[in-house]
Amino acid sequence: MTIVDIVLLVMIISAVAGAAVHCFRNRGKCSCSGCCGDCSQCHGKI
Amino acid sequence: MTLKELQIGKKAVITEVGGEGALRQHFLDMGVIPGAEVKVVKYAPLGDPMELQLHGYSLSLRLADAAEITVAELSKEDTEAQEKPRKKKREHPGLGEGGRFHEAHPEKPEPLPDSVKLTFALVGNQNSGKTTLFNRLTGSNQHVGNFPGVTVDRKDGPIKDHPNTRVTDLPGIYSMSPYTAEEVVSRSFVLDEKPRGIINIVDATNIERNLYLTMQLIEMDVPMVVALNMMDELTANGGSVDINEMEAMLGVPVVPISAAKNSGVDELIDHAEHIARYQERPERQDFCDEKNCGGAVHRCLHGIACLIEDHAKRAGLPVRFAASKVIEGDELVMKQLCLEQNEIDAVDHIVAQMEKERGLDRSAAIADMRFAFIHKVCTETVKRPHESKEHIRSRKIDKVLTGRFTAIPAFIAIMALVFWLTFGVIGAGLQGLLEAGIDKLIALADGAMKRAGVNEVIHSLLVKGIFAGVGSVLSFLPIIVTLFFFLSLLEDSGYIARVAFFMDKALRKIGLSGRSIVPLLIGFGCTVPAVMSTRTLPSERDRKMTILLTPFMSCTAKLPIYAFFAAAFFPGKSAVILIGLYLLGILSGIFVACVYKATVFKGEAVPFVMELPNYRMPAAKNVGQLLWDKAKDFLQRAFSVILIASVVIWFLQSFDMNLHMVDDSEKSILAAAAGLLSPLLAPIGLGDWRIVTSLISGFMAKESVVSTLEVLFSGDVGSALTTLGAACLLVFSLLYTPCVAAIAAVKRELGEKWALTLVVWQCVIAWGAALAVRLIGMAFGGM
Repeated sequence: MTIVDIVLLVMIISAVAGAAVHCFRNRGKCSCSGCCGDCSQCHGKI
Repeated sequence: MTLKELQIGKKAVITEVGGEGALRQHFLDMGVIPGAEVKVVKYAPLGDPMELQLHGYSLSLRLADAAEITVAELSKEDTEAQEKPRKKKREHPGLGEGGRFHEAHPEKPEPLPDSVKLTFALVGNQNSGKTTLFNRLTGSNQHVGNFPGVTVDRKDGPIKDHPNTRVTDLPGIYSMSPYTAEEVVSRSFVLDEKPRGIINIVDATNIERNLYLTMQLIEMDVPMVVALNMMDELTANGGSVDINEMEAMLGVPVVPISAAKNSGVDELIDHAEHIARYQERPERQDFCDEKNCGGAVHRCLHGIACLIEDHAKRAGLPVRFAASKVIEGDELVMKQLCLEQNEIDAVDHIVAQMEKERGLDRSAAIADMRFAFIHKVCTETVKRPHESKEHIRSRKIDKVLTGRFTAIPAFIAIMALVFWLTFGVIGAGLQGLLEAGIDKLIALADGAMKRAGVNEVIHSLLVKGIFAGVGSVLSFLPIIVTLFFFLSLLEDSGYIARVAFFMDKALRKIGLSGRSIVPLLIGFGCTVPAVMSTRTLPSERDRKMTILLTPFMSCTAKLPIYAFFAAAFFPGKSAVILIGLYLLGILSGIFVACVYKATVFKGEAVPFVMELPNYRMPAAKNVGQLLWDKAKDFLQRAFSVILIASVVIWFLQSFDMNLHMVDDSEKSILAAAAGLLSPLLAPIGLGDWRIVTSLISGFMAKESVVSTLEVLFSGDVGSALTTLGAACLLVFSLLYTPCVAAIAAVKRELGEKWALTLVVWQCVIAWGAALAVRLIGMAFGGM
C-alpha cells in the first residue's frame, strides 16, 4: 500500500462513517422537508 | 326553497340549516346559520359542488348538502346597505400593556418570575397566515402555502431574541368543535398543555368568520392577544378597523399587523409577553345578550354554567366553555364532565326550553348567539373594504381555470405543461449538463488514480462503487428540483384548492372527496408529506383510502429510475415514456380506488366543505426556500443513504463468501443471496440477480435502484434486459412498495397492520401489472 492508498482509504472510511452517523442521528426524523410526526419536536404528541 | 335551487348570482337569507351531527355543527361554525346572507357564485364544471359567497368569503359546498339548507330569496331592492362604524372617540383601553390599565386594576396578580418559560399557542383559521407569523416570530423557515390546511402538525420555536419563550404553531381550525383531527389537536393543546398565552391570528379581510373562533378561545379563559393580520390588504381596499373599540368590546388586546410585511409584529410580541407574564385573562366572556330574543340563550347558558360549575372545575375545563359545549351536545366534553343522570336531565330540560323560546335548535342557537355578537362588533368597529383587487383578479382567473367548459382542459394543459417542462425541456436539459460534468469528473479521477498506481481494490471501490452509485443519483437533482418548483407554484398560487373544488364530483365517483386531491398532488413530490397532509381530511374512511392511494402517484425519487431506463432502452422517447408512466400510475390508482370502494371502503366520501382562497403571486422567498430544502434533502440522501448503499452493494458483489475478491460477480455474496428471490421475479422477466438486488435496495430509497444498477452493471444494463424486460421493470418500479420512509409514515398514521398490508399489496399489484405488460408484449412479438 502506498501513501496515496492510505490517504484514500482514510477518506473513504471517514465518508462512510460520517454518512452512517448522519443516518443514525436522523433516524425517525423528518424527511423530504415534511414533518414525519415522529421527530424530537412532535414525538408522541399527535 | 333550498339553497340548491338558488340560481347563480342570486342572494338569499338562510332560514333553516338541516342535516345532523358533526357536519351540521361544522356548517354552523363556518357561518352557515339562520339569518346569514348567501350568494351563489357558480357551480363546478361537473355541476357539483357550488361556490357561495358568505360573510365576505368563498365557501364551496356539495349540492346534496345545499339541499338541506332552506333559504328565502332576497329581491334586488334588498341590497346590502354599507354599514359604517360609529364614530366613537374611545381612548385606547390599554389591555396587554403597562401604565393606565394596570394602575386602574391594582388587584392584578404579580408577574410570573423571569425563570418561568412563557409558552404561546398560535391559533387561527386555516389560511389566515399563521405559519407566516410563526416564521416572523421565531425566525424559522416553515413552509407556507395558499390553500387551507398546509400545517397539519404542530411546530414549536422560541420567539427571536426572547430566549425563555416558546410559540407553538397549531393547525388552522374554524372552531373548537372536534370536526377534523386538526381541530382535536388544537383544542387538546389549549386544554391539556395549558399554554401561558394564546396568540389568536385573525384575517382582517375576513373578520366575521375569524372572530367566531376568537369568541370560543376567549371562553377558554386563557390570557390572549388578537393579532389582526393582513391589515395592509384591508386598508389598501378602503377598509378600516377601530382597534380601540374592538379591544374594548372583546376584552382582549387587539394588535393590527401584517405578517407578510413584518409590520406590527414587535408590538404583538410585547403584548403577548405582557399578558402571559401578568396572566391577564380576557376581561369578559359573557357575550350572550339578555335582550336578544327574550334572552333565552343567555338564561340557558348561565343556568347550565351554574349547574356544571363543580364538574367543570374538577375536569379542569373553563366553565363558560364547558357550558356552551354542553349545550352544543359535544360528546367529548360531556364525557369529561362526568355529569350525574339528574344533572343530564336538568341540562336537557333547560336546553329544550331554550330551543322552544328561541325557535332554533341547540347548536344553531349557540352559533347564532356568537354571530349576533360578532355582527355587533363588526357594525361598531369595522368599515368593510370594497371588493379587493385580489378578489377581482381571482374572479377573472377563475372564469377560465374553474369555468364550466374550460376547467378540466385547463387542468390537463397545466399538468401536461408542468411535466413537459420538467422532463422534456428545463429539467432534462439541466440534467444532461450535470451528467456530462459528473462523467468528466469521474473520468478525471479515474485517470489520476491510474497514474498514481492506486490499489486495485480501492480504485474499484471508488470508481465502480461510490462514484458510479452516488454520481448516477446526483445527476437527477435538476429534474427533481424543477418538478418541485412547479408543484410549489401551483400550491402557493391557490390553484390546488380550485382543483379540489372542480374535481370533487369526479373523485366522488371513485369514493374520494375533492379534498383528497391535495395529498394526491403532493404525492407527485414525495409520499411522506402526502401521507401527513391527509390529516386535513375529516373522515377516517377518506383518510385511510387516500393514504393507500398516494403510492400510485409516482414520487420524484422514482424519476431517476424512469429516466435511466428510458434513456437506455427508449432513446428519443424519454418524455413520452415518463408521462406514460405517470398516467399509468394515476389510472392504476383509479382502478384500485374503485376496488376499495366496492370492498374495503364501502360507502360515500364525506361532504366537501372548503374555503377557496384568493389567487396570490407565489413569494419568491417561499419558493426559493422550498427548493433549497428539497435540494438539501436530496443531496443529504445522496451522500448518506445512497453512499452507504453503494459501498455495501459494491462490497457484496465484489467478494465471495470467503471474502476473496471475485473476477465474476456471479460468484459473489450478492449473487447467492439475491438468487434466492430470483424465481419470484422470473415470470415477469426480472429474474436477473442484479435486477433483484437493485429493486430490494429501492426499498431503502428509490434513487438507490439506479445507483445499484450502475454499480452492478458498470453502465452496461442493456446486456441483462431486453426492451420488453425494461418496460416490465419500469412498471414494476412504478407500482411496487413505497420506500421505508413512506411506509414509516403510513405506519404512524394507520398502524403496523395497514403498513405491512400496503407493502405486500403494492408488490402484488406491481407483479400483476408487470406480468400483464410482459404477456401483452410477448403477444405482439416482444422478447
